[in-house]
Amino acid sequence: MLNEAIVIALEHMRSGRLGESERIAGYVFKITMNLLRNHQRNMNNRMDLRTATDSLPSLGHPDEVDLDQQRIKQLVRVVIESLGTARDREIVRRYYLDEEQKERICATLGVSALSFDKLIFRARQRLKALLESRGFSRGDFFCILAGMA
Amino acid sequence: MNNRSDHSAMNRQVIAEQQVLMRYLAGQLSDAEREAFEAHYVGHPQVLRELEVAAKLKLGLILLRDSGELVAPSRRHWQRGLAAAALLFVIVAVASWFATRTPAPPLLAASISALGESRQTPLLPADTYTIERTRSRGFDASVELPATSRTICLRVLPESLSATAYRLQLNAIAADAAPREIASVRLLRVDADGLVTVYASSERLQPGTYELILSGDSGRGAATQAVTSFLILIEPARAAVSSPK
Repeated sequence: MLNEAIVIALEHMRSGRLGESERIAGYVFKITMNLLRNHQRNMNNRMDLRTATDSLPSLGHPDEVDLDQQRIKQLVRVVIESLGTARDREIVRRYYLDEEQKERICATLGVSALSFDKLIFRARQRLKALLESRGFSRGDFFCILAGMA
Repeated sequence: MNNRSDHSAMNRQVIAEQQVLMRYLAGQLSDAEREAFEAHYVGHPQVLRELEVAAKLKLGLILLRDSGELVAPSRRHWQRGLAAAALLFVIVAVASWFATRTPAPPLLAASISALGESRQTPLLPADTYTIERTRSRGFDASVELPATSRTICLRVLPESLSATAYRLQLNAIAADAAPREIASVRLLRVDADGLVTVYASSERLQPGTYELILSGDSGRGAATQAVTSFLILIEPARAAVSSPK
């Protein structure tokens, strides 16, 4: 999927559709997300395209992707554990994992919008700092797509 | 946001207020919103970077959940006492943003004289704040605004002294999205004590949450490497918040 996205982006760049070359990272990401979205739609619409995962033992993620995902998991664990209270952890979990709306989380937990924003911002900043300190670059981003596919 | 004008309507404020980052990752945006956001982040690497970090946080939580390491706490009813006051604070902070639209002297400058260049009367100095990265959950520094317009001296400690010059950027933080840049100063030198000094005009600052980003500055173009970010709370002047008798 990523290969296809890069090829499409390069074709667009050569044909002048892309404009500035500095935009290539965002452009590749956008194309990859579109491919991922189309893939997920196909999977949802065509049950016959799905295969039981236990029948694909040899088609696991490449080791590098697995390793990157384990590193991300470890760093996110550090971020979660650094949150001060169980409520803070619940907010981050419900927002990022359960995809609940901010307003609903604030209403059900009695949290102000400002406190919510600060908590979410701080969690993301901590992860950003950890990622930078561990040498994660934008290239690693595409292991995310493998994790979400 | 459902027509072609959405592309120009997408900006940091919209991204923040409408939680576009998370809704994009969750596939909750409409086609028009998605197109507008994609057109925006292709041209804004900083927004793409924020999206990347949000996606990694989401991925990490998925992996923790799948491995059974993320236990959902039992639902509890939490105290709602401070919600109204905090919400009022948000309204004041947001309203203050819109109040600073007229042409005005610079918000940040490398020297007091540069800060007062466009003023008829120079600003008097107020307090000096040393800002360094802390491990605490809260802010790295709290700055109290003076009761009258003055210059505030901010002395910032870089986490590494690898750069010969620095760029200091001040971002206002409204909600969950990329912070909005409101001022920056380039080619700042490190003082003998290892701190980078910058001056802020208190009349251009409003109470609220801000982020200071200190980056190495090569002086060649805008591309700089992020070094350290600090979370700052700007508090109103005490005289301004005390209730009248």
